[in-house]
Amino acid sequence: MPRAVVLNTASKSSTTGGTFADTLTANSGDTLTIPNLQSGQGKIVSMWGIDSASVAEIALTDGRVESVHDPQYGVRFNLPATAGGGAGKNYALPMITPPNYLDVFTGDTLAFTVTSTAADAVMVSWLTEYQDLPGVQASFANWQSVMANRFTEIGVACNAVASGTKGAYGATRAANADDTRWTGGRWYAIIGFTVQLPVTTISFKGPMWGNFRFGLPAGLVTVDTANYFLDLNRLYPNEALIPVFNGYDAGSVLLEVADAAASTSPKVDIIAVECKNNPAVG
Amino acid sequence: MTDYTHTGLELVGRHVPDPGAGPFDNAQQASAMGYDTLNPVSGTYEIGVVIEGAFVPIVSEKASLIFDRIDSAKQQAQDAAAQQTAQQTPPAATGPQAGVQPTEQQSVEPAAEQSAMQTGEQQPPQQQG
Repeated sequence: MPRAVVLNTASKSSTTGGTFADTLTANSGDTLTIPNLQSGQGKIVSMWGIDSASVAEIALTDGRVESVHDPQYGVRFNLPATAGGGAGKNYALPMITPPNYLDVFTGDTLAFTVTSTAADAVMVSWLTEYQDLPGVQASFANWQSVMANRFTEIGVACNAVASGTKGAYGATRAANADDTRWTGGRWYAIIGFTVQLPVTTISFKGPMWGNFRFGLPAGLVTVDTANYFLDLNRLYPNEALIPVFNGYDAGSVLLEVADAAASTSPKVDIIAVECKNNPAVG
Repeated sequence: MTDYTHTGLELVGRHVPDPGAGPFDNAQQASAMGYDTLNPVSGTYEIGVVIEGAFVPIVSEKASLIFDRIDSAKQQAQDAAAQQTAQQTPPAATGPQAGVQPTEQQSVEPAAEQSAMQTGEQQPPQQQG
C-alpha cells in the first residue's frame, strides 16, 4: 500500500483579466491530472492560492460530480488579496484547510479558472494524499513515532529563492547548500520551517518521497509554519504526514520556492526533529 | 490644541535589496545564488517618514511588486499618450486615392459622378406602366 503526499502548483504570471477569463496551467514538473491509483481515489487535503495585486475568484472543476458539485463552476474560492493591509500583502490564502478535503479520482483533470484583474499573477498550490500510488513508498511519520525516536531538534538554513517569473518555481536548492550540519545516519523529521519573507509556496522534493513534491504555504495568514506538518498530522490523526529523510540524503532534499512576486528570497530555516531510528511509518 | 512634536513630516520611499542578490555579471553567478535572472528585483520597498533624520518605516512591501506597479503605470502613461496622439492626428488617406491632394479629389469626384449619371449606373429603375 504505497502512499504519497504530493504538492502541485498551477499559475499564470500575467492574467488577461475578466470573469473566469483565465485558466491556470500546471507549473513545470507539476500536473493537473490525477494519476492512476490502485484504490482509484485520493484526496486534496490542503489548498492555498493568491492573486499578486487584486481580489480574485477561482473556480475549481474536474468534471466528476463525485468530486466537485458540477462542471460549471465546481467549487468557487474568493481570494481577498487586499485584506492583509494592502494588495498583494497576503502571499497565500487558505482555500481548502484540514480537516476538510476534496476527493479526486484516477484520470480526472483539475481545472482552475480565474476571475482577476488584467496583468495580475495568480497561483494555486495543493497537497494531495494518495493512499496507494504505485511506485512510491514515501517516507512520512506521525507525531507519535517521531516522539518515540526523538533525540534532538535542529533548525537548518536553506536560501532557496523564487523565479523571476511570477508563479513559477525558482531553481532547486539542496537542504545542505547553505548549512551542512545534517548528520549522516541520523533520521530527520521535518515538522515545519520559518521564513523572513512570506511566500506563496515552498516545495520539498527528494527520492525518499518518490521524487514528488510536497510542501506548504507561508503567506501572511499561513505564516505560522514552524509546526506545519505536525499541525497537519494533528488534523488528520490517522495519517502519517511528517516527512522524514536520512542525513546522508540531505543533498538530495531539494527546496524550491514559488511566489506571486518575482525573485522572492524568503530565507528558509527548516525545523526538524533528529531521530535515532527511522520514525517513518506506513 | 494638538500636542504634536513633529509636523510636516517628509514621506519617502526606499528600495532595500536582498544582500547578495545581484545584479550579477553572468548566469553562473546568479544560479549560484539561486536566481534565474541576472538582475533580480529582490528585497523589500519601504515607505516611511523622516523624523529628525531618522527613517521610520510605515509600510514594507516586496520590492518586485512595487516596481511591477511602477512599470505598469509607465506603460499605461505611454499607451495613453500614444492614443491621444493618434486621436489628434488626421487619419492617413488609404485606398486607390491615397496620396491624392484634396483639391484634386474635389475636381475628380464631380466628373466621376457626372460620368456615372451619363451611363445610368446610379439612376433609379424606371417603373414600367
